[in-house]
This record gives sequence, C-alpha cells and structure tokens, in this order.
Amino acid sequence: MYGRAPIFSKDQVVSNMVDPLPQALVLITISVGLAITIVLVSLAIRIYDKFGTFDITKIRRLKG
Amino acid sequence: MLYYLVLIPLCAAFLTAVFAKWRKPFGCLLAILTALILFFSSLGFCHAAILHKAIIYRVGGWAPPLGICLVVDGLSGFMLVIVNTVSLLVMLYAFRYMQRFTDKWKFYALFMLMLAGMNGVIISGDMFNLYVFMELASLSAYCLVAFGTKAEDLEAAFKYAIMGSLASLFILLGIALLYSHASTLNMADMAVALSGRPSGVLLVFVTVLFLAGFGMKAALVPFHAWLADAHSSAPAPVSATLSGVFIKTLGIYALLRVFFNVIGISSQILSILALLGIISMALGAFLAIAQDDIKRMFAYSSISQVGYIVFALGIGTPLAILGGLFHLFNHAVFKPLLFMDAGAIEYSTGRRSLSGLGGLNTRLPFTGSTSLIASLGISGIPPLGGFWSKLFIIMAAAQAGYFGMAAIAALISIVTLAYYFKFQTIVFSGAPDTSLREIKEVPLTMKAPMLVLGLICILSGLLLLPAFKPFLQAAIDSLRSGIAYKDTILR
Repeated sequence: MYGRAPIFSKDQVVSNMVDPLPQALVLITISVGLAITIVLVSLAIRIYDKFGTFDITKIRRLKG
Repeated sequence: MLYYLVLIPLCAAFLTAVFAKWRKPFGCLLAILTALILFFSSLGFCHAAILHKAIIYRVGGWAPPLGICLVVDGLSGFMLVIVNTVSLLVMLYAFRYMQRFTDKWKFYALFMLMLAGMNGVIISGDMFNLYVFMELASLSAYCLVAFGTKAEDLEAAFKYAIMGSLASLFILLGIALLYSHASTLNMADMAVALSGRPSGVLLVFVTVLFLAGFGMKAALVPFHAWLADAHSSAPAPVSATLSGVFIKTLGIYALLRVFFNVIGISSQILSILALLGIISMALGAFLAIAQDDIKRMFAYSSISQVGYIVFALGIGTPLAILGGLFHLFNHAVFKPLLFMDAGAIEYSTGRRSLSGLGGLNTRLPFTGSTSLIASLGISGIPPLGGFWSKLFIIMAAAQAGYFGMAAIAALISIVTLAYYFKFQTIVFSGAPDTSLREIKEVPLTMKAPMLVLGLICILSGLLLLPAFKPFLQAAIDSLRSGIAYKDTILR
C-alpha cells in the first residue's frame, strides 16, 4: 500500500478505511472502568475494616 | 472561551492536590475563588446564550460534524447558572462545616472535579463527551459520599457506586448502539442522521437503555434505592450539592437533551416520563413521612420533587415545561437550603434524628427561620416560588386532560406539607431538652449562604416577571425546538 493524503482532503477517493473512532472510545472507556474499579476496591477494603466481612447480606446498617 | 468552564475547576483540583498538603487553607480559598469565577462566567454565558440563541465552541477549530463542539444554548445556560450558584454557596458553607474532618483538601479537590464534570455534561455537544464528563462527576461523587469514612458512609458509597456504574454502563451501551446506527457522535449530526431514517427496534432498545440509565442517575422510582442512603450519609455540603444540582444535571438535564434534541420526543416517551414522574412523586412522599432521620427525610423528599419535575416534562405542553423547569430551579434552591439547615443542626447538636431533637427555635433562631422558609417553599405555600411552579404543573396536567394525575399531584403536595410540618414542629417548636440548652448558633460563614438561599427562595416567584422571563423562556425554547436543535448547531 502507498501512503495517501488525509481522507478528508478534496479529490480524494476513499475506497476502504477503518473507523478510527471506536479505538479511541474503547481506550477511554477502559480507563474510566479502571478508575471505577479502583474506587470500588478501595471502598471494599475500608468496608472490610469496619464490618469484618465481605458478605453483602451482613453489610446492612442503613435501613428505611 | 467555553472550555474554561471545565478547565478552571480541573486546574483548581490539580493545584489543590499538589499544594494544599503544605498550606492548609489553600484548598479552601482556591475552591471559593474558583467557584466565584465560575459563577460570574456562567452568568455571562447564560446572558450571551439568551442573546445569540446558542454559543458554540469548536474544539481544535474543527467544524461540528467532524470535531467535538461545546454548546451553550438556553437550556444549558439555565443549568449552568443553577449549578454554579449552588456550588459557590456550598463552598462558602463548607469553609466552617468541613473543619471537623481531616484532610479537607481532598474534599475540595474532589468537589472541584465534580464541578468540572457537571459543567462538562451541561456544555457538551457530543454524546461520548457527555458520557466521559458524567463519569468524572459520578466518580468524584462516589468518593465524596464516602468522605466521612464511617461504616454507614462506606456502605452507602459502595451501593451508590454499584448502581451508578450500572447506570453508566446502560448509557454507554446506548451511545455505542446509536453510534453504530448513525455513524456519528456529535449530537446535532446524530439528530440529522436519525431524523432521516425510520425508527426501528434498535431505537426502541436505545430509548429503554437511556430511560433506565438516566432514570437511575435521576433516582426515578424503580431505580431510586441508592439515593436515600447516599444523600443522607454524605457530609452536608455534599448532600446539598448532590440533591440540589447533581441529580438534575446528570439525570434530568441529560435525559432531556438526549430525548428532546437528539432522538426526538414522541408521545410514548412522554407518557412513560409522566408515569415514572407520578410514581416517584407519590412513593417518595410516602416514604419521607415515615423517616426519623432528618437527612433521610429530605432525601426521600428529593425523589418526590424530582418526580414532580419529570411528570411536568412528561406532559410536554409549554405551560408544563415552564412549570417543570421552574420547579427544577426552585428545588435547586430550597433543597440545598434544607440540607444546609440539617447540617447546621448536626453541627450544633451532633444529632439528626427527629426523636433526639426538640425546641431548637430558642437556641438556633436563624436555622429555624431559614428552614421554615425552605419548608414553606417546598410545600408550595404562596407567594413563594414553589407555589407557582406546582400550580403551573397541576394546571398544565388538567389542561392536557390528565385529571387523575393532576389530582394526585395536588394530594402529594398536601402530603409534602404534612411531613415538613412534622419536621418543623418536632425539631423547632416547644421547649428544648436539657441536653440541648448549651448549644450555639452556627458561625457567620455558614449563615451567609443560608441567608442568600432563603432570600432566593422567597423572591424566586419574580423570575416569572417579564424582566426576568428570558432566563426561563430561553430554556423552554431550546426544549420546545426539539430536533431543530441540529439546525442551530450546524448552521
């Protein structure tokens, strides 16, 4: 394959191309997911300190 | 210039995290300064949006269908002013309230991140950016709910984080499916692509995903379980922000923007919204009566009031949209005020259960009078703003032929009055308990934001006067224009 001009220049015929956007989106989503997982894990560790268990049926102090 | 609304709080969060460890008051002062700048710039942007219909910033100079754009139209301007006003007052309030916590700079850094996320959601003109800013705001909110690190706080934050990330996942899936269908993420361009095609099964599925996702963020009734825990366990400034503006920005605003301006509103979606609204309204109010914890009562009351807003928007007539948006504004005034009052009571007495309090009017006259104003406002006593918004909602429901629902809305208004009356009589009237004789009124920096909110609460009816009408009217117009939104952006 030859190198070619950017796809949005004039008189450029685009036959086949890969959509680059989903790659960027997936990458961002993965990093967002990582951040949320870190928060959840650190919350879970602090919860273990307070309740002494990971059993969600025993972590029930909030009612109403 | 529009990106400053996101950039300034982001930089403030970074600087706080770097420097505040060594200079203790730095974080707080920087946060107040940032909130002040944002408040004035939001007023400026709102004014410009009313004058020019919409202001658009093209990130990197790329024109909308290709590049990302930031947009402030009437609705965004309306939300920006609400969010930044409440944040400024909350920051002033937090200055003294947060003194009993350690590592206060983390609070300010997280709060600034949350503010950046909320402003980002409001000004974003791109679906995926909406999602990223939403996650930024939610993530900081999860941490802020857990800020006290007591057992209850952690449990509430964990529950909130699970529910919130599930909601985000629904929204992300919806956005991904819409992208596969429309081949674009820009909201205006997506509206163009969707309006030219027949709506198939995919669009119905996406609608359901968005209803569930944004409904969970807004705590509409089948998805409301996290709200009472999260909003009652958080420190008072955080509860005030979450209940006052956060659920409206991430839930209601995003829902409206996507359904009215991108997908295009249909009568089915409207009737689903009206139904969800009326259920939330009723269930929230009845759950609120039974509560003993003041903050839990206010949290359930938030569910009920959000129900009013969504119900009004679900009716969809101009009068109903006016009522809904005006009620959104009013709720963003009196609910932070009520949470600040609950925080003031907790600050002075260390308690927040109805059974442990009584006769506080003799010891805390200022807190008593501001919470009386807020209670009257939220129960809809004329001539306070809350009365007019509820009146419009009920009138619009009757006009549109929803007589049964109008009757329910009027009844729930009486129920609201009942539980706020209960709160007022138990907590403030009578003679104080012997253990409550020694308590003092809150310091001036906490009184000042409460006073400002109290005044707005009394005067908010003036927003309906012709001089101030464009503020609400511009927001109504951008909702009513529907998918003509695309023409404003792509002109």
